[in-house]
Amino acid sequence: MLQNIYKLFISSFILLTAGYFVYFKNYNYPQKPFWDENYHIASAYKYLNNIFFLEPHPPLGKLLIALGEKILHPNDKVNTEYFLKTDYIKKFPKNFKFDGVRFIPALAGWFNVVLFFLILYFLTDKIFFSFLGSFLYLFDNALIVHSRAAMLESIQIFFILISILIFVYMYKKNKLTYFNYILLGILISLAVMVKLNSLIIILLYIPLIYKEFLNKNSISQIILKLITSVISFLIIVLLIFKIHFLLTKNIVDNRIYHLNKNEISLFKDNKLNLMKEIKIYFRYIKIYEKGVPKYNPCKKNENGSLVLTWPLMDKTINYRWHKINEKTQYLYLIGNPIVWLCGLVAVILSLAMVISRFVYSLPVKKEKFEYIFIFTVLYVSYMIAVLQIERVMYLYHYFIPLIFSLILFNLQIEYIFEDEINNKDLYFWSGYVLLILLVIFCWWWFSPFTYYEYMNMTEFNQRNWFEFWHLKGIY
Amino acid sequence: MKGKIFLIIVILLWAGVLYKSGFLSPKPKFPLKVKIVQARSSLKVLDEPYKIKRSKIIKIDKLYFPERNYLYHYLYGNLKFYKNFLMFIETEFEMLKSQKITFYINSDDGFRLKIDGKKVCEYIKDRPFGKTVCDITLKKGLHKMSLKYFQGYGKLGLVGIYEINGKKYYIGENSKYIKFYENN
Repeated sequence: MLQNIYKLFISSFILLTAGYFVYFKNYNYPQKPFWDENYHIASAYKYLNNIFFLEPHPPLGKLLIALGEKILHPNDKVNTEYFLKTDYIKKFPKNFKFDGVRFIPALAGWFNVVLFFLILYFLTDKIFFSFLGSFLYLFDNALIVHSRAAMLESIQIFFILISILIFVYMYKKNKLTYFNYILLGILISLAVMVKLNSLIIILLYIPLIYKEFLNKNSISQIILKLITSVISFLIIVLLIFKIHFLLTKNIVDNRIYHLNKNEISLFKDNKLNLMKEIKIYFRYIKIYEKGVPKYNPCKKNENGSLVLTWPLMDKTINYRWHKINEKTQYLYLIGNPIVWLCGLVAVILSLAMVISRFVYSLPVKKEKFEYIFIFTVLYVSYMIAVLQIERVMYLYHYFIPLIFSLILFNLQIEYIFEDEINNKDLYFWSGYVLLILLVIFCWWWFSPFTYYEYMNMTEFNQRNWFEFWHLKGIY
Repeated sequence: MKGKIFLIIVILLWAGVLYKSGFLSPKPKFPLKVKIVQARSSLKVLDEPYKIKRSKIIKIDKLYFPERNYLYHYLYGNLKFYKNFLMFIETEFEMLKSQKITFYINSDDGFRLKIDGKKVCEYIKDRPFGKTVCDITLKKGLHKMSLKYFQGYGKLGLVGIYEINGKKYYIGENSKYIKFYENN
């Protein structure tokens, strides 16, 4: 037991050290904005200056971005007044530093490595296997790009991973306490309050209820536990919205975000109650979403993509580029192809296994299959849910199912090669170490896209493996 | 047994990655050097005199600029040349044995194809996207190919294909008959 804790500690330490260099070091580079940073930094500054605003994403992610700026405050002497009068910062002051606004997302991205490792360990009880498996998260270029930005995804994944970790812990336990459910409710709520698409992990309650039934707990007790969890979920939602509205008390430039006259007057007099404020927020989302364009493949420079092609990394997005002479720097949303391939293979195998189990009564190793089933359902449910969305969607909306697929990959490898893993089969372990080395190689090969490094056209073309990625060189 | 199969799959994956990245590939991946020149005045025939407004050099893997309102290559997207420009394409290739080769040049507007400095075929005026076919027998060994193309106005495009023994390939694509080499 003690030896295991020691090994866990050492593994986590190594991963954190590697994670520092991959996710955190020089996270402020480039000192230029890209993609949604222009929106989120404007929001963060409104929190810091108590300016009223509404925005489609829930408040927590932007609050944490603001917190990073508050902690490091690298822009105290920079005139950022313009940020308060716009939702999209078109031009940043020359000396604006991104160290503060990117601090918490980079920190979250970095710590996610260990969370991912712990999830794998909880699922498999194999420390070294999980250690190697967590390299799939550690070295994915797309996750790295978004983590080193004032964007929401790494924070969202942080709360999702903790929720999954607590879920696995709960699922393995025989007796589930009220405290367990309260904790899960809080964590899921935190994830949802960063981005609404985190709602998918609410499905984690279903296997827990199933487990409660297996443990022959009474229905009334199960319902009570669920109600406790839902209440803790709602309390966090209300609390975060309260913080949002408390921090945004002043209307500037008549920026009223579709408030009517009555609401403005109540707002100015501090008489709007929280429920009314939340209603206003959701009404704003509804109006905002009407203005979001639909996916249009015929549109010149369309960055959006089709949900079903995401697992193939279709399509990548050029976030930022800068050309000097024959060389160009790129900041590209492109994943590690081997990591994404592992995820895709795992999903295919898992679907085949789940279908075979239920259609052909395939005999399975029960406990291992349960986890495969749970994460397959999560993956498929997310994809089905986003298929219903009419607005344009982007490749990074695949991050959540990508995480599920990477967990599935480790579960599948463990399932298929259980004997080889336990018997320390030289061929299997050589193959697995070689695969992880390949993951590292591909991370390095595609790293110019991730860390905004220079490439000439030949170097760019050498990385342009498939047409369906839609990589486009700047010449 | 499963362990061995897994190891083989991972080794094949390594080979695939190294090949795609150009490490295992004995031939260069982008053998066609294309100089694009924007003329200051309008162009109506291939050899019309012109003054250079701007120019770009790109390297591509195959001669495939599909018919569009703008110059497009899948490696580069919209190259932002629309009218009154020329392209000078150069490459070196090796015939693995002496034999007859047929070129299909689809262009809008005109072009001239030369091999080892000798004209193989041309269409010097403007035209809608149309095909010119020409045959030549080449000796085994290295040869130099150059292609001059011009676009006047309207739609444009340039697609080059070669055919040997009934099999067609894009110019720039290697086959068991021809190997293309990078042109510096």
